[in-house]
Amino acid sequence: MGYKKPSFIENIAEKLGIIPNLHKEGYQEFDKDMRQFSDEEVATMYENFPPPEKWDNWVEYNPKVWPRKEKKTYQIVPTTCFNCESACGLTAFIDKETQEVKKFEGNPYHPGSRGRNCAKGPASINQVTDPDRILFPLKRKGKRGDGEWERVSWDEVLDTIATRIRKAILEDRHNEIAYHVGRPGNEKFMNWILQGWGIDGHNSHTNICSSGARFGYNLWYGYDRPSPDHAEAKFILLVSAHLESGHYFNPHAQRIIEGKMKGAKLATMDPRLSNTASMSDYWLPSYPGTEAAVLLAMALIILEEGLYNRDYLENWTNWKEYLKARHSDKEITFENYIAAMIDEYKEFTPEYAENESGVKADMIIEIAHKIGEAGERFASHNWRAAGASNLGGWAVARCLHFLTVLTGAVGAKGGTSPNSWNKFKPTQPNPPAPQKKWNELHFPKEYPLAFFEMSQLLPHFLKEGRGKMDVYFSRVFNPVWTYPDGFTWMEMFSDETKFGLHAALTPTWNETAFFADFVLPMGLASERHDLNSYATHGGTWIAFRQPVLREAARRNGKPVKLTYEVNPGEVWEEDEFFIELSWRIDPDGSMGIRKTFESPYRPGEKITIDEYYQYIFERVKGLNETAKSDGFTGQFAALEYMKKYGAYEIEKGESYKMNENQLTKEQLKGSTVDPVNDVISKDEKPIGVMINGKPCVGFPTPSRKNEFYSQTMVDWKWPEYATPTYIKSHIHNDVLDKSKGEYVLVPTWLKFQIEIRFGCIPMMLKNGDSKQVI
Amino acid sequence: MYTKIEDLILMVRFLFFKIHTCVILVTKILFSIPKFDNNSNYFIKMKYGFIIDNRKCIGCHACTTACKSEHDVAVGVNRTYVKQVEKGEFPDTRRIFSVMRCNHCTDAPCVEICPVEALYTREDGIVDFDNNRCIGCKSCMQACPYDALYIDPDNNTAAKCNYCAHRVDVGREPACVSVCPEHAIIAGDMHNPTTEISQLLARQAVKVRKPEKGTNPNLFYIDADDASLVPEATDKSGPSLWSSQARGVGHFAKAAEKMMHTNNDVDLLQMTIDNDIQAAYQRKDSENPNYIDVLTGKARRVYDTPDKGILWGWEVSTYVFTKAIAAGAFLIPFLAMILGHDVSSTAKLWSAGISLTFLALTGLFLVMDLDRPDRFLNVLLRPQWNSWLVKGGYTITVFGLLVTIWGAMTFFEIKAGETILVWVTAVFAVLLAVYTAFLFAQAKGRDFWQSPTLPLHMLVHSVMAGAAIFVIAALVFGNEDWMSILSTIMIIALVVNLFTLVTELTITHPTTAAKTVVEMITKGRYKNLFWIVTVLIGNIIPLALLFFGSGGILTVVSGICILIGILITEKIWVEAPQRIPLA
Repeated sequence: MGYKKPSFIENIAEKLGIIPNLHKEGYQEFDKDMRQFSDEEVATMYENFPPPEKWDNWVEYNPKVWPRKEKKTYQIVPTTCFNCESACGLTAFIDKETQEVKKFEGNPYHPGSRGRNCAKGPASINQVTDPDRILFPLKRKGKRGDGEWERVSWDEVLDTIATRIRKAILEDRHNEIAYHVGRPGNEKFMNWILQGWGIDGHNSHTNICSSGARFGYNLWYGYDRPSPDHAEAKFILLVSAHLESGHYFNPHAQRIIEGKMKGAKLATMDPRLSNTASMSDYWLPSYPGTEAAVLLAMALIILEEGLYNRDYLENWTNWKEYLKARHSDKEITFENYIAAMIDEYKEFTPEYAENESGVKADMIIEIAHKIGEAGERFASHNWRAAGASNLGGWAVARCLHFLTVLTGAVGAKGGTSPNSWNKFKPTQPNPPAPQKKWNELHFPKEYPLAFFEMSQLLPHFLKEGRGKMDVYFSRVFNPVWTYPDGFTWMEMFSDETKFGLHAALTPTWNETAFFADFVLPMGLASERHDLNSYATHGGTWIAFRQPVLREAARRNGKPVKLTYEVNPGEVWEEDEFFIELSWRIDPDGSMGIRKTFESPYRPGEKITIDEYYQYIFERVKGLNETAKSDGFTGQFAALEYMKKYGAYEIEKGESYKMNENQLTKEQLKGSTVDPVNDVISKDEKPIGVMINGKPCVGFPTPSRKNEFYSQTMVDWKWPEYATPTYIKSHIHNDVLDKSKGEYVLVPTWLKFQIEIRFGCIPMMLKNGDSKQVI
Repeated sequence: MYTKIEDLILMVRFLFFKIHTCVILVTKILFSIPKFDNNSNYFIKMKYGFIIDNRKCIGCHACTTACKSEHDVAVGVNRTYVKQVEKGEFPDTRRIFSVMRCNHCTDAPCVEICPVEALYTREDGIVDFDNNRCIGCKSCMQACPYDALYIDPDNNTAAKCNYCAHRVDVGREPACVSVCPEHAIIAGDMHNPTTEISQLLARQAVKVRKPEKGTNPNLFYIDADDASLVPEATDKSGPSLWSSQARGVGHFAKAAEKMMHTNNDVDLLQMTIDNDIQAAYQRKDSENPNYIDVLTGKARRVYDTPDKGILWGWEVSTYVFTKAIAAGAFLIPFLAMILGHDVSSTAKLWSAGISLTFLALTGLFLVMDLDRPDRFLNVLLRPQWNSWLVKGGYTITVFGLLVTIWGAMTFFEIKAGETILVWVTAVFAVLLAVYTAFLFAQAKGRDFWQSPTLPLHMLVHSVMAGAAIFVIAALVFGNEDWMSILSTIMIIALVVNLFTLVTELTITHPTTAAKTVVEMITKGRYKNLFWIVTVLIGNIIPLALLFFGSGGILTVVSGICILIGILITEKIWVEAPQRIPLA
């Protein structure tokens, strides 16, 4: 488009130099060569992203000086976002002249995010250019927590920490070394490292996050997370706000709305009027901790009205075990099973559920009918929200999955799969032997069913004198701010007898890093290597987070050895840091650690980052062939493919009903079938189950089926929790005294506040409450 | 059977047909001569537009940040944002998301009012801007009914969504479209029936914002709700965690920065406290005091952009005042002359002197109001003739020249041609007095300014101001016979003024925004200023004094009262409509 010709007066004024000449050459010029797509293409195209063959030389106009048509040449390098777990695709637009990242856009080759992003994606540029970033490794000066720092070299950092770890391991103080992570985001990398050191050193934030829901799911089918197939669903039931604050925000939000546009109905249980609640056909603002009652009421309706999937219940739940254990007086028939369940849940009438939760009975009935009608195409999800922070919160996911089982939607198209079916498991080089240590600071014996590390108790254990931490890494983890009782964390962090050395691995300043001995700057989305694979939909993919400037340098013929050489300042990445650290812990190999970190391609030598990922990528189904057909050759073809496109789709729509996959003859060789429960075992390990005469793989549970009845809970002396139950929470209305000003904080507020956005403290109020609070 | 006559008729018809065709062809060619420096694609008829599909939008703000990143938009200002409104009563309540941005109007009022062609409509329908031309007059921000523009604090010029024209020109979609997780923003050529946007427009019920403004917006909403699209449906949210930058950003960033760098942080702190206090008052005034009151059911804003504040401040209202005096100071002796009075050379020189002084002040205030005062010459040298700012600028210039010539002729006692000169000057004086009314009318965003009596209001103010200034000036240079008419002029003008005042405030206003302004003036935050200063001091008292008193000090007091009245009235008239939220 052209620039307007100057008017008579303007022309004269410009020629006389009274005003700047905006019409001189180059200003208004429109270059037809710049039109990368024809009008016809643009009209029909949906994602008109630069084509990959132009990624090394992509020319756009500079928006900053527009409408002056200044051309800017970018190099486009893909990576993945690091601002939540989803790891959506990003592409960094690197200014070819200055070799600086100018902006981030989506990556259309990423099967999870499909070229689109949430607000946090493009905002990554703010983090990269944040003037308050930590650019160099820092060592504390003065007392811990005094806030004084000095710059040190990576060598000094590595040597100091390696010496200390080496000493601890040699003195058999393995349990004094721990790596405490908030956001993992790297498939199995740290497990490889820590197992390589032979320590039980992994700690996570999961116990104040998703472990409640994970436990509920796990009791059912041996998988601890769901993978709802929203896009193909007919009815979607979300426990909490998965459109905007769910675990896989952008990929799930895309598919929930896609499903909705195709006709699916959406129901959301959320005490807050979230965006998701707003977008829902049904909003169930249940009182926190009562969700299970509502879900069981729905289950009862489905059972009573015969809306369940008979085949599925008969074949894929352990109902015989249940009848035998609970109703030994009755004949083992399917009808008795249904009758027993109806009897077990008879108190969960819609009215009872309304009374407990505040959700209208009519709505509960209507939704139960819709779920029944949707059948196998019933997608659901619980992650944190109701599952976290409530006493008995784990029962919510369990009752939710009950509905999935009743409809037979487990693993169905448009239903809800186990997340492992849609997630890639890497094969790593030199797999170390499992560690032989048990760190009771992480898994204390008095919590036998703790599903993840009891990390919230760590400072309290230290205070009690149960142990100490000699070398402690906090990584993208800020308990001082995000955990309950941050003050005890501060107290313990300040005490050098409790935490001998604290290294904070973090891209940004935080309250916990303030109490560290080393603050070690780790890269952001565009400054680090990670392998990502998440259960975002009915498919499986991998994505590659990579330091984009390093990749650009390689393409431009100036490869570097280590990532911090090209990153801002000396910002590094965990992958290379931990490989280097491991090497220095055991430089001569005498401790048996070094061998894990040797190159699988160059015996005896230290593995490089490229080798680590090539080793994994060349073992990804179909990737070698795809790389070859795309013209990549040589030893690192698979890796180069991933460096170019940033993601690879392993399968799509093939991972449904994988429990029905049949065991091969090879697998069946030497196996036995239990005559009572049909479980196929080999070497005393269950490997499948006979279903209608067919040897199916089943689920990784003792019965290889969905366990309506959990013998595990009985064995651990919780017989009352053998079947899905509603557990009244510690904030149940019966136990709150509002006259004393006792009110409920919505359980996820903290997570929500930290990870998603800031806001007021949401307090759960019902009609009439507000006056008292104000 | 053919006759020669029939043959002739046929031939004539044939010739006529030929001529007719030729004429049409020639006309077509003549009229299709492109006016712009086009680049070969002028003849491609394109029309870009946006659809916001609220069936899909989840209010995630990805568009907002993608736009910020693409254009490196400064802190506190937005080219696009997601307004959020909650309505209903728990549990039958919901949050509505509305993506707000430039509507790329076919009849864009910002383009029409822009004095320097900094805003312009491209051949493909995109309303683009060039910040190298912009003088920071903010008239576009008054003209746009959608609050789409802001002052970019990086270079103090106007900016807005430009449909990512730089991307469109390489064949890419705007950044917000590419990023949107839900594909809820659809961009494309609305004239091409194969595009998604055309197909959606053909099949879906769509809404636009403020169709009554006649701007023909090209941003369409599917599944929109008036609770969110209509600004008056909800109270403006007070400064909160998100919008506490209501001052100190955009146009006001300069002020904030100055404070930061010169003084100390105390002033800035004071600013924040002011905001908080203001917010508290707003909450007190509102029926819906705070967040918890989603329970009460009334639609309320829960996410909004920072309020842009009063963009035309004291500089503008004061310039209207000084301009009234400048025009009036000439018009009064002119009136005396045409009524047959003898006006002395001294009085004429005083007239020219006062006129030029206040004209200079007018120019000064005008330039001071610009966010890019260094570019004030652009108004004259890069003129966009549809803009009343340009017409006004030239009026000021020509009037100033004429009065200077008249003053010089008077000084050198040159009589030849004076009659013609004063008549021509008078025409420009009237123009000078009233042009601002036309400019205000061009400011389509401010409903109250669209009043048809505004030109009369300004003309009368000029006459009143002229008379008043001479009453006061006479104290210095002595009374002359012709000045006997001043009292009468003031009385008549005051009566007319009261009439326009009553008309402007009582006539049925077409929009709620205008009604709200009237309420604000007569019953709201301006009521004391209006009733005490405008009505009482500015009109009633001088009228009473002139009626019952006779000459001398009473007339002078009346004059002073009149001037105070005009100054305050213009302050109210300029300020009040700017307090109505546009989005």
